[in-house]
Amino acid sequence: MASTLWAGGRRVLPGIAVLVLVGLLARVVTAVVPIGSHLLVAIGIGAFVANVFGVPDWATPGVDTHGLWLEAGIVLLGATVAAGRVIGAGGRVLAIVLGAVIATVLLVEALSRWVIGIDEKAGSLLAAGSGICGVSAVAAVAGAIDPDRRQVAYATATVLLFDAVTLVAYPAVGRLLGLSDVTFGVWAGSTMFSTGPVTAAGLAYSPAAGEWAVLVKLARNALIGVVAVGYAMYYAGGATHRPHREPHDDGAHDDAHESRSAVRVRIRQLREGVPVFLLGFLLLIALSTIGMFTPAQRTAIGNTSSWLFLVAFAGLGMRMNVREFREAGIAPVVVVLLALVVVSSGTLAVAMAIL
Amino acid sequence: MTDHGSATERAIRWWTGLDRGWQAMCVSFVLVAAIVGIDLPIPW
Repeated sequence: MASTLWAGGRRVLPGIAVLVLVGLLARVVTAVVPIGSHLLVAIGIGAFVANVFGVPDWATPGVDTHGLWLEAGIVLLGATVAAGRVIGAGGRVLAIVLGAVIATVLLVEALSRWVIGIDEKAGSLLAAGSGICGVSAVAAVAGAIDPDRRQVAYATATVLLFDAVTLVAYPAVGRLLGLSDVTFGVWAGSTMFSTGPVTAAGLAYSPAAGEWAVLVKLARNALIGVVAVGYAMYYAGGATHRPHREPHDDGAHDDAHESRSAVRVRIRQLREGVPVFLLGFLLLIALSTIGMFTPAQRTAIGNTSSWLFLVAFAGLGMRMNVREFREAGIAPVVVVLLALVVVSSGTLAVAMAIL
Repeated sequence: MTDHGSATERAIRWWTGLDRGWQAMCVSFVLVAAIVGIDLPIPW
Protein backbone atom coordinates (compact mmCIF):
# COMPACT_ATOMS: atom_id res chain seq x y z
CA MET A 1 0.00 0.00 0.00
CA ALA A 2 2.15 2.86 1.27
CA SER A 3 5.19 0.97 0.00
CA THR A 4 3.69 0.84 -3.53
CA LEU A 5 3.05 4.56 -3.42
CA TRP A 6 6.56 5.18 -2.12
CA ALA A 7 8.10 2.94 -4.80
CA GLY A 8 6.19 4.77 -7.55
CA GLY A 9 7.19 8.15 -6.14
CA ARG A 10 10.82 7.11 -5.71
CA ARG A 11 10.92 6.16 -9.39
CA VAL A 12 9.79 9.53 -10.76
CA LEU A 13 10.59 12.11 -8.08
CA PRO A 14 14.39 12.35 -8.65
CA GLY A 15 13.89 13.12 -12.36
CA ILE A 16 11.13 15.62 -11.61
CA ALA A 17 13.46 17.30 -9.10
CA VAL A 18 16.08 17.57 -11.87
CA LEU A 19 13.50 19.21 -14.16
CA VAL A 20 12.55 21.71 -11.44
CA LEU A 21 16.23 22.53 -10.82
CA VAL A 22 16.91 23.07 -14.54
CA GLY A 23 13.80 25.27 -14.77
CA LEU A 24 14.81 27.35 -11.73
CA LEU A 25 18.34 27.68 -13.10
CA ALA A 26 16.89 29.04 -16.35
CA ARG A 27 14.88 31.64 -14.41
CA VAL A 28 17.95 32.69 -12.40
CA VAL A 29 20.13 32.89 -15.54
CA THR A 30 17.60 35.01 -17.45
CA ALA A 31 17.05 37.26 -14.41
CA VAL A 32 20.80 37.95 -14.18
CA VAL A 33 21.66 37.97 -17.90
CA PRO A 34 18.76 39.04 -20.15
CA ILE A 35 19.58 36.64 -22.99
CA GLY A 36 15.99 35.85 -23.94
CA SER A 37 13.00 33.81 -22.84
CA HIS A 38 13.51 31.68 -19.73
CA LEU A 39 11.53 28.92 -21.51
CA LEU A 40 14.00 28.68 -24.37
CA VAL A 41 16.89 28.91 -21.91
CA ALA A 42 15.35 26.01 -19.91
CA ILE A 43 15.24 23.94 -23.11
CA GLY A 44 18.84 24.98 -23.92
CA ILE A 45 20.16 24.10 -20.45
CA GLY A 46 18.27 20.79 -20.54
CA ALA A 47 19.68 19.92 -23.97
CA PHE A 48 23.20 20.94 -22.89
CA VAL A 49 23.06 18.82 -19.72
CA ALA A 50 21.64 15.80 -21.55
CA ASN A 51 24.04 15.91 -24.48
CA VAL A 52 27.21 16.73 -22.55
CA PHE A 53 26.68 14.74 -19.34
CA GLY A 54 23.80 12.42 -20.32
CA VAL A 55 20.61 11.70 -18.38
CA PRO A 56 21.37 9.20 -15.58
CA ASP A 57 19.15 6.13 -15.30
CA TRP A 58 17.79 7.24 -11.90
CA ALA A 59 16.45 10.45 -13.47
CA THR A 60 15.02 9.00 -16.69
CA PRO A 61 11.50 8.02 -15.46
CA GLY A 62 10.96 11.48 -13.94
CA VAL A 63 12.38 13.34 -16.96
CA ASP A 64 10.03 11.34 -19.18
CA THR A 65 7.03 12.86 -17.37
CA HIS A 66 7.65 16.18 -19.18
CA GLY A 67 4.80 15.51 -21.66
CA LEU A 68 2.34 15.27 -18.75
CA TRP A 69 3.38 18.71 -17.40
CA LEU A 70 3.16 20.21 -20.90
CA GLU A 71 -0.39 18.94 -21.38
CA ALA A 72 -1.47 20.01 -17.88
CA GLY A 73 0.06 23.45 -18.54
CA ILE A 74 -1.91 23.72 -21.78
CA VAL A 75 -5.18 22.79 -20.04
CA LEU A 76 -4.59 25.51 -17.42
CA LEU A 77 -3.64 28.04 -20.11
CA GLY A 78 -7.29 27.76 -21.21
CA ALA A 79 -8.31 29.87 -18.18
CA THR A 80 -6.36 32.86 -19.52
CA VAL A 81 -7.64 32.72 -23.11
CA ALA A 82 -10.17 35.39 -24.05
CA ALA A 83 -12.90 33.49 -25.89
CA GLY A 84 -14.38 36.61 -27.50
CA ARG A 85 -11.10 37.46 -29.22
CA VAL A 86 -10.74 33.89 -30.47
CA ILE A 87 -14.28 33.69 -31.85
CA GLY A 88 -13.78 37.05 -33.58
CA ALA A 89 -10.83 35.76 -35.62
CA GLY A 90 -11.98 32.10 -35.63
CA GLY A 91 -13.06 31.73 -39.28
CA ARG A 92 -9.92 33.31 -40.75
CA VAL A 93 -7.62 31.40 -38.39
CA LEU A 94 -9.34 28.10 -39.20
CA ALA A 95 -8.91 28.77 -42.91
CA ILE A 96 -5.19 29.41 -42.37
CA VAL A 97 -4.80 26.19 -40.31
CA LEU A 98 -6.60 24.02 -42.86
CA GLY A 99 -4.69 25.60 -45.75
CA ALA A 100 -1.33 25.06 -44.02
CA VAL A 101 -2.10 21.43 -43.11
CA ILE A 102 -3.37 20.47 -46.58
CA ALA A 103 -0.51 22.30 -48.34
CA THR A 104 2.15 20.69 -46.13
CA VAL A 105 0.79 17.13 -46.45
CA LEU A 106 0.38 17.40 -50.25
CA LEU A 107 3.73 19.12 -50.78
CA VAL A 108 5.72 16.64 -48.66
CA GLU A 109 3.98 13.72 -50.40
CA ALA A 110 4.66 15.21 -53.85
CA LEU A 111 8.30 16.03 -53.10
CA SER A 112 8.90 12.60 -51.53
CA ARG A 113 7.38 10.61 -54.39
CA TRP A 114 8.22 12.57 -57.52
CA VAL A 115 11.13 14.90 -56.79
CA ILE A 116 13.46 13.47 -54.15
CA GLY A 117 12.38 9.83 -54.45
CA ILE A 118 11.78 8.74 -50.85
CA ASP A 119 10.02 5.50 -50.00
CA GLU A 120 6.20 5.96 -50.09
CA LYS A 121 5.50 5.13 -46.43
CA ALA A 122 8.45 7.16 -45.13
CA GLY A 123 7.11 10.11 -47.17
CA SER A 124 3.66 9.70 -45.61
CA LEU A 125 5.13 9.65 -42.09
CA LEU A 126 7.06 12.84 -42.88
CA ALA A 127 3.91 14.45 -44.33
CA ALA A 128 1.88 13.67 -41.20
CA GLY A 129 4.71 14.71 -38.86
CA SER A 130 5.28 18.06 -40.54
CA GLY A 131 1.62 18.73 -41.43
CA ILE A 132 -0.13 17.83 -38.17
CA CYS A 133 1.58 17.36 -34.84
CA GLY A 134 5.17 16.23 -35.12
CA VAL A 135 6.33 13.06 -33.43
CA SER A 136 2.89 12.10 -32.12
CA ALA A 137 1.50 12.28 -35.69
CA VAL A 138 4.36 10.08 -36.91
CA ALA A 139 3.41 7.56 -34.21
CA ALA A 140 -0.33 7.75 -35.00
CA VAL A 141 0.13 7.30 -38.75
CA ALA A 142 2.75 4.56 -38.19
CA GLY A 143 0.03 2.67 -36.28
CA ALA A 144 -2.29 3.04 -39.28
CA ILE A 145 0.05 2.16 -42.18
CA ASP A 146 2.47 -0.36 -40.61
CA PRO A 147 5.82 0.95 -41.90
CA ASP A 148 9.15 -0.67 -40.98
CA ARG A 149 11.07 0.59 -37.97
CA ARG A 150 13.74 2.26 -40.09
CA GLN A 151 11.12 4.46 -41.82
CA VAL A 152 9.67 5.51 -38.45
CA ALA A 153 13.16 6.32 -37.12
CA TYR A 154 13.91 8.45 -40.22
CA ALA A 155 10.70 10.43 -39.91
CA THR A 156 10.98 10.88 -36.14
CA ALA A 157 14.60 12.06 -36.33
CA THR A 158 13.72 14.53 -39.12
CA VAL A 159 10.79 15.96 -37.14
CA LEU A 160 12.94 16.30 -33.98
CA LEU A 161 15.65 18.09 -35.94
CA PHE A 162 13.16 20.62 -37.31
CA ASP A 163 11.55 21.01 -33.88
CA ALA A 164 14.93 22.12 -32.52
CA VAL A 165 15.72 24.45 -35.44
CA THR A 166 12.30 26.12 -35.68
CA LEU A 167 12.17 26.62 -31.90
CA VAL A 168 15.02 29.11 -32.23
CA ALA A 169 14.38 30.34 -35.79
CA TYR A 170 10.68 31.27 -35.48
CA PRO A 171 10.94 33.75 -32.57
CA ALA A 172 14.05 35.26 -34.20
CA VAL A 173 12.26 35.77 -37.55
CA GLY A 174 9.14 37.03 -35.75
CA ARG A 175 11.15 39.73 -33.94
CA LEU A 176 13.05 40.61 -37.10
CA LEU A 177 9.78 41.20 -38.95
CA GLY A 178 8.09 42.81 -35.94
CA LEU A 179 5.09 40.48 -36.16
CA SER A 180 2.05 41.11 -33.98
CA ASP A 181 1.26 38.57 -31.25
CA VAL A 182 -1.70 37.16 -33.18
CA THR A 183 0.20 36.82 -36.45
CA PHE A 184 3.18 35.17 -34.79
CA GLY A 185 1.02 32.77 -32.74
CA VAL A 186 -1.09 31.72 -35.72
CA TRP A 187 1.99 31.35 -37.95
CA ALA A 188 3.91 29.23 -35.40
CA GLY A 189 0.84 27.20 -34.45
CA SER A 190 -0.04 26.33 -38.01
CA THR A 191 3.42 25.57 -39.44
CA MET A 192 5.82 24.41 -36.70
CA PHE A 193 5.71 20.68 -35.95
CA SER A 194 5.43 19.26 -32.38
CA THR A 195 3.18 20.77 -29.70
CA GLY A 196 5.95 21.37 -27.11
CA PRO A 197 8.21 23.49 -29.32
CA VAL A 198 5.18 25.41 -30.70
CA THR A 199 4.10 26.29 -27.14
CA ALA A 200 7.64 27.25 -26.15
CA ALA A 201 8.22 29.41 -29.24
CA GLY A 202 4.83 31.13 -28.81
CA LEU A 203 5.31 31.89 -25.11
CA ALA A 204 8.91 32.96 -25.74
CA TYR A 205 7.54 35.58 -28.15
CA SER A 206 4.84 36.85 -25.74
CA PRO A 207 2.11 35.41 -23.49
CA ALA A 208 -0.60 36.40 -26.00
CA ALA A 209 1.35 34.85 -28.89
CA GLY A 210 1.68 31.69 -26.78
CA GLU A 211 -2.08 31.48 -26.30
CA TRP A 212 -2.70 31.85 -30.04
CA ALA A 213 0.03 29.35 -30.90
CA VAL A 214 -1.44 26.74 -28.51
CA LEU A 215 -4.99 27.35 -29.69
CA VAL A 216 -4.07 26.99 -33.35
CA LYS A 217 -1.81 24.01 -32.70
CA LEU A 218 -4.57 22.17 -30.84
CA ALA A 219 -6.99 22.80 -33.70
CA ARG A 220 -4.36 21.29 -35.99
CA ASN A 221 -3.74 18.33 -33.66
CA ALA A 222 -7.44 17.53 -33.74
CA LEU A 223 -7.04 16.66 -37.43
CA ILE A 224 -4.70 13.74 -36.73
CA GLY A 225 -7.55 11.23 -36.48
CA VAL A 226 -8.83 12.16 -39.94
CA VAL A 227 -5.34 12.03 -41.47
CA ALA A 228 -4.48 8.68 -39.83
CA VAL A 229 -7.73 7.15 -41.08
CA GLY A 230 -7.13 8.61 -44.56
CA TYR A 231 -3.67 7.04 -44.71
CA ALA A 232 -4.96 3.72 -43.32
CA MET A 233 -7.60 3.59 -46.07
CA TYR A 234 -5.12 4.57 -48.77
CA TYR A 235 -2.55 1.94 -47.82
CA ALA A 236 -5.18 -0.74 -47.15
CA GLY A 237 -6.63 -0.03 -50.61
CA GLY A 238 -3.20 -0.35 -52.21
CA ALA A 239 -2.55 -3.63 -50.42
CA THR A 240 -5.70 -5.50 -51.45
CA HIS A 241 -4.12 -7.44 -54.29
CA ARG A 242 -5.08 -10.73 -52.75
CA PRO A 243 -4.49 -14.12 -54.36
CA HIS A 244 -7.31 -15.37 -56.61
CA ARG A 245 -9.88 -17.49 -54.75
CA GLU A 246 -11.96 -20.33 -56.10
CA PRO A 247 -15.76 -19.67 -56.19
CA HIS A 248 -16.49 -22.26 -53.51
CA ASP A 249 -14.14 -20.91 -50.86
CA ASP A 250 -15.50 -18.59 -48.14
CA GLY A 251 -13.55 -15.49 -49.15
CA ALA A 252 -16.72 -13.36 -49.26
CA HIS A 253 -17.40 -14.09 -45.61
CA ASP A 254 -13.76 -13.29 -44.70
CA ASP A 255 -13.91 -10.04 -46.67
CA ALA A 256 -17.12 -8.92 -44.93
CA HIS A 257 -15.60 -9.74 -41.54
CA GLU A 258 -12.36 -7.91 -42.42
CA SER A 259 -14.18 -4.83 -43.66
CA ARG A 260 -16.33 -4.67 -40.48
CA SER A 261 -13.26 -4.84 -38.25
CA ALA A 262 -11.46 -2.30 -40.49
CA VAL A 263 -14.37 0.13 -40.00
CA ARG A 264 -14.21 -0.44 -36.22
CA VAL A 265 -10.46 0.21 -36.22
CA ARG A 266 -10.92 3.44 -38.23
CA ILE A 267 -13.64 4.74 -35.92
CA ARG A 268 -11.36 4.01 -32.96
CA GLN A 269 -8.48 5.83 -34.69
CA LEU A 270 -10.72 8.86 -35.27
CA ARG A 271 -11.81 8.90 -31.62
CA GLU A 272 -8.32 8.35 -30.23
CA GLY A 273 -6.92 10.95 -32.61
CA VAL A 274 -8.52 13.82 -30.69
CA PRO A 275 -6.16 14.64 -27.82
CA VAL A 276 -8.00 14.43 -24.48
CA PHE A 277 -6.28 17.47 -22.99
CA LEU A 278 -7.80 19.55 -25.81
CA LEU A 279 -11.18 18.96 -24.13
CA GLY A 280 -9.78 20.17 -20.80
CA PHE A 281 -8.35 23.26 -22.46
CA LEU A 282 -11.74 24.04 -24.06
CA LEU A 283 -13.54 23.41 -20.76
CA LEU A 284 -11.32 25.92 -18.92
CA ILE A 285 -11.86 28.51 -21.68
CA ALA A 286 -15.62 27.99 -21.19
CA LEU A 287 -15.43 28.19 -17.37
CA SER A 288 -13.30 31.31 -17.56
CA THR A 289 -15.62 32.92 -20.11
CA ILE A 290 -18.72 32.43 -17.94
CA GLY A 291 -16.90 34.13 -15.05
CA MET A 292 -16.13 31.12 -12.83
CA PHE A 293 -12.77 32.59 -11.79
CA THR A 294 -11.92 35.89 -10.10
CA PRO A 295 -9.08 37.90 -11.68
CA ALA A 296 -6.76 36.78 -8.84
CA GLN A 297 -7.67 33.12 -9.42
CA ARG A 298 -7.13 33.50 -13.16
CA THR A 299 -3.70 34.97 -12.47
CA ALA A 300 -2.88 32.07 -10.11
CA ILE A 301 -4.02 29.52 -12.72
CA GLY A 302 -1.93 31.29 -15.39
CA ASN A 303 1.10 31.28 -13.08
CA THR A 304 0.63 27.55 -12.37
CA SER A 305 0.54 26.99 -16.11
CA SER A 306 3.83 28.92 -16.45
CA TRP A 307 5.50 26.74 -13.77
CA LEU A 308 4.27 23.58 -15.44
CA PHE A 309 5.63 24.79 -18.80
CA LEU A 310 9.00 25.60 -17.22
CA VAL A 311 9.32 22.05 -15.89
CA ALA A 312 7.99 20.57 -19.14
CA PHE A 313 10.43 22.49 -21.31
CA ALA A 314 13.40 21.54 -19.14
CA GLY A 315 12.38 17.93 -19.88
CA LEU A 316 11.86 18.68 -23.58
CA GLY A 317 15.45 19.91 -23.75
CA MET A 318 16.76 16.92 -21.79
CA ARG A 319 15.13 14.65 -24.35
CA MET A 320 16.74 16.42 -27.35
CA ASN A 321 19.46 14.03 -28.36
CA VAL A 322 21.81 15.46 -30.96
CA ARG A 323 22.93 11.94 -31.92
CA GLU A 324 19.34 11.14 -32.98
CA PHE A 325 19.39 14.01 -35.48
CA ARG A 326 22.11 12.17 -37.43
CA GLU A 327 19.60 9.39 -38.15
CA ALA A 328 17.53 11.79 -40.21
CA GLY A 329 19.43 11.41 -43.49
CA ILE A 330 19.78 14.06 -46.18
CA ALA A 331 16.76 13.22 -48.39
CA PRO A 332 14.00 13.55 -45.72
CA VAL A 333 15.62 16.75 -44.41
CA VAL A 334 15.63 18.27 -47.92
CA VAL A 335 11.97 17.30 -48.49
CA VAL A 336 10.79 18.77 -45.17
CA LEU A 337 12.97 21.86 -45.50
CA LEU A 338 11.57 22.68 -48.96
CA ALA A 339 7.98 22.12 -47.82
CA LEU A 340 8.52 24.13 -44.64
CA VAL A 341 10.04 27.10 -46.46
CA VAL A 342 7.21 27.19 -49.02
CA VAL A 343 4.28 26.61 -46.62
CA SER A 344 5.72 28.67 -43.78
CA SER A 345 6.38 31.74 -45.94
CA GLY A 346 3.01 31.37 -47.70
CA THR A 347 1.17 31.04 -44.39
CA LEU A 348 3.01 34.01 -42.93
CA ALA A 349 2.12 36.15 -45.95
CA VAL A 350 -1.57 35.18 -45.66
CA ALA A 351 -1.60 35.69 -41.87
CA MET A 352 -0.01 39.14 -42.22
CA ALA A 353 -2.57 40.07 -44.87
CA ILE A 354 -5.79 38.92 -43.19
CA LEU A 355 -5.21 39.02 -39.40
CA MET B 1 -0.77 -6.17 -5.41
CA THR B 2 -4.02 -8.14 -5.33
CA ASP B 3 -7.20 -7.48 -7.31
CA HIS B 4 -9.00 -6.36 -4.15
CA GLY B 5 -6.27 -4.24 -2.65
CA SER B 6 -6.53 -1.19 -0.46
CA ALA B 7 -7.96 2.11 -1.64
CA THR B 8 -4.42 3.39 -2.27
CA GLU B 9 -3.59 0.34 -4.40
CA ARG B 10 -6.79 0.73 -6.39
CA ALA B 11 -6.10 4.44 -6.85
CA ILE B 12 -2.56 3.72 -8.09
CA ARG B 13 -3.87 1.07 -10.51
CA TRP B 14 -6.51 3.50 -11.77
CA TRP B 15 -3.90 6.25 -12.22
CA THR B 16 -1.37 4.07 -14.07
CA GLY B 17 -4.18 2.77 -16.29
CA LEU B 18 -5.01 6.29 -17.51
CA ASP B 19 -3.36 7.61 -20.65
CA ARG B 20 -1.33 10.80 -20.45
CA GLY B 21 -4.10 13.11 -21.69
CA TRP B 22 -6.44 12.00 -18.89
CA GLN B 23 -3.63 12.24 -16.33
CA ALA B 24 -2.97 15.82 -17.49
CA MET B 25 -6.69 16.59 -17.08
CA CYS B 26 -6.66 15.18 -13.52
CA VAL B 27 -3.53 17.14 -12.54
CA SER B 28 -4.95 20.37 -13.95
CA PHE B 29 -8.36 20.03 -12.35
CA VAL B 30 -6.85 19.22 -8.95
CA LEU B 31 -4.75 22.38 -9.26
CA VAL B 32 -7.74 24.47 -10.36
CA ALA B 33 -9.81 23.07 -7.48
CA ALA B 34 -7.05 23.99 -5.01
CA ILE B 35 -6.68 27.50 -6.44
CA VAL B 36 -10.43 28.15 -6.48
CA GLY B 37 -11.44 26.14 -3.40
CA ILE B 38 -8.89 27.44 -0.90
CA ASP B 39 -7.85 30.57 -2.80
CA LEU B 40 -4.35 29.21 -3.18
CA PRO B 41 -2.21 32.04 -4.52
CA ILE B 42 0.46 30.87 -6.96
CA PRO B 43 3.14 33.51 -7.53
CA TRP B 44 5.42 33.68 -10.55
